[in-house]
Amino acid sequence: MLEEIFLNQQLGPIGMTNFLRQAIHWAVNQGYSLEVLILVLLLPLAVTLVALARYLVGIQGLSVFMPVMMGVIFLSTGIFPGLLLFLVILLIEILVILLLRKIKIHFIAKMALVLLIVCLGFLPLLLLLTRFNSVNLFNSALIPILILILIGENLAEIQLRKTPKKAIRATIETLILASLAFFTLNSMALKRMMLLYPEAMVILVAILDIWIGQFIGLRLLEYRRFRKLLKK
Amino acid sequence: MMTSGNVLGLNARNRLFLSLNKKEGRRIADSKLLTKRLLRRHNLPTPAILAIFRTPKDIMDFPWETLPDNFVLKPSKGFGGQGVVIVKRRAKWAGEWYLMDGSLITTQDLRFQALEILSGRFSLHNGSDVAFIEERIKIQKIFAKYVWHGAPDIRVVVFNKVPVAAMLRLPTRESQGKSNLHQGAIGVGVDLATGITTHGILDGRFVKFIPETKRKINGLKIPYWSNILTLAVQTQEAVPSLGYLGVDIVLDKNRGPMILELNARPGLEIQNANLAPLKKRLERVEGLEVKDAEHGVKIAKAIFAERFADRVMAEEGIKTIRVWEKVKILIAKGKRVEVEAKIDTGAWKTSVDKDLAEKLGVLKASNVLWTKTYKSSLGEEKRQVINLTFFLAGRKIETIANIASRKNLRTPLIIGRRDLDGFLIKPERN
Repeated sequence: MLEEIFLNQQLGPIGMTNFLRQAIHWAVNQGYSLEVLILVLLLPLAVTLVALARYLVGIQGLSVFMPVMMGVIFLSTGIFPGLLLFLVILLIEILVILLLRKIKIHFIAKMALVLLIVCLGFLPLLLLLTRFNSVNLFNSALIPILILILIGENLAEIQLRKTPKKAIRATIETLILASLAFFTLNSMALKRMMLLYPEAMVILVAILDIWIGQFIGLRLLEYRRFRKLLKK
Repeated sequence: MMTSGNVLGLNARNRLFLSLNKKEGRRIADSKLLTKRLLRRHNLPTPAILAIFRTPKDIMDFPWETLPDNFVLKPSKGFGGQGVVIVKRRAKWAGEWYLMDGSLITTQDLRFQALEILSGRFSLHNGSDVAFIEERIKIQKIFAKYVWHGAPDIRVVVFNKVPVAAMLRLPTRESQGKSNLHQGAIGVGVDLATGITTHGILDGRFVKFIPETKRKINGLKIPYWSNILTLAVQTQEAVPSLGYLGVDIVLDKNRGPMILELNARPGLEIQNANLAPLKKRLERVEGLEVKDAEHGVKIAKAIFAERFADRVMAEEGIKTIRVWEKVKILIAKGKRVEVEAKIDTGAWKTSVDKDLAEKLGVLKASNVLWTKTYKSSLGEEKRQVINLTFFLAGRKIETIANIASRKNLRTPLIIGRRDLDGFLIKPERN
């Protein structure tokens, strides 16, 4: 699909309006993957949308890095298996941290211990995958799984300092933002737009960033939080 | 259509107001130890530090058994009450204490917690930190029925030397004696003019009663209210690099208001607790010329009073007196002498008989402010002016008074208009 558009693209002489497209064409001719190039261009858009979700809607999640990282990982695992996998990892990690709560050792040493137990927990998974002849699934998704474990550990540790209600809220928000990042990076429409009009898209993203960076109105969720005040 | 004009949201707070907090000020507010040092330098009251742990060696060498029965272990750069351990009292054996929820903690646990603090686990930017032990505040009796355990505090948001909103924070069982809303404490709005509580908010929901004690939340009058507000503004005067500042003040049973800590990013829930939008208040205060702390407090009381404030202030504000009153003059700390006085609205200043002043010892040189020559129909006359403190109808009046000979007059003391603000005088005979 993308390849088709790419091959049909007619570019005039290089100038202000087509320098990015020229660059893409040059890079692909050098053997770089079109998919990856488009992904690089889409990443700022994904982060911009996460910023919009925070400043306009009020979905904070935990940091910006975590949800975008998860969105990228979901590209290789698929969104639903990815979300499911992450929730399972998170749950195990929270359980292990709770179990180890009584042990008084230094914080980072304890996190390493948690990680050790969680990684050992993968042994049964390996058995299961061998049984279903899906060894390749594990091999191809190994690095994403490892990163999910690390992110999950970070999240679990932050969660346990909050009240359960706030922790659940933060988790849901993080997952919403991760899904948002995933759908942005995975959207064929956006990929096409980026391939057809990269210059315009880049300018649009920059304008969005500057606009949202100066926005001082209430966030959508704040209308709910302060509803009693607003009624007055 | 709802308008957002008056409510302060996170975006507006961060961009418009937090930008007024300069790096130096944030550095002080983010470190409880730096805050305390600054407060002490400005002679502002703050709970004492019992020990500071900068290195693991400090922790290991510290004689824990010398600590008083109760104390608080805190990270200097902690936030939202994280990492704080409140020790309630000594347990049966040496080296064991009870926590707020009745569980035991040992010296070993405390050492471990202090080490965790040093490693930066609870600090704002996860860098290394310093741990310290602070004395525990004895709470005012009036709050005893309102908190589960622990000390309530009063958050005052100050902007341009004017207190713009205040909130009483009541620890609950869930918050483990801590007064941070994020830990589950109740936020209670307080009328700036009177110090009377209005609405309560717990975890984003409005509450009318304390969950544990079923006590009504509104209508509690916080003692030392004016002092609290004045202290908050004085704090901002001490840290001018914090333009928009939250000051947390505790009330000690014996010593009154003390500053616990500063917050360079005060939260927005205070708007819900007061049911009052902050942005409008901030805009009203912005750019005002505020002379000093008292002036700032006066402005706040005048423009941010709740609707009921007039009535309350009127009730306690106006006292009715008669022409002839018995007045108690303060002659030394705690020592008062009763004197007959005439209320004289024809005079500006209060006057005391010279013989009486001498007898009471208020005419000693150190108490005389100046001597002035008066011209009157009787010729020239030298009069001394002294400091005088007296109690009229239960109200303490600190003022200056003329010394005059009143030998043949009915009372040795007349009280002039200058000291009669807030009194209503009944002209008929007693």
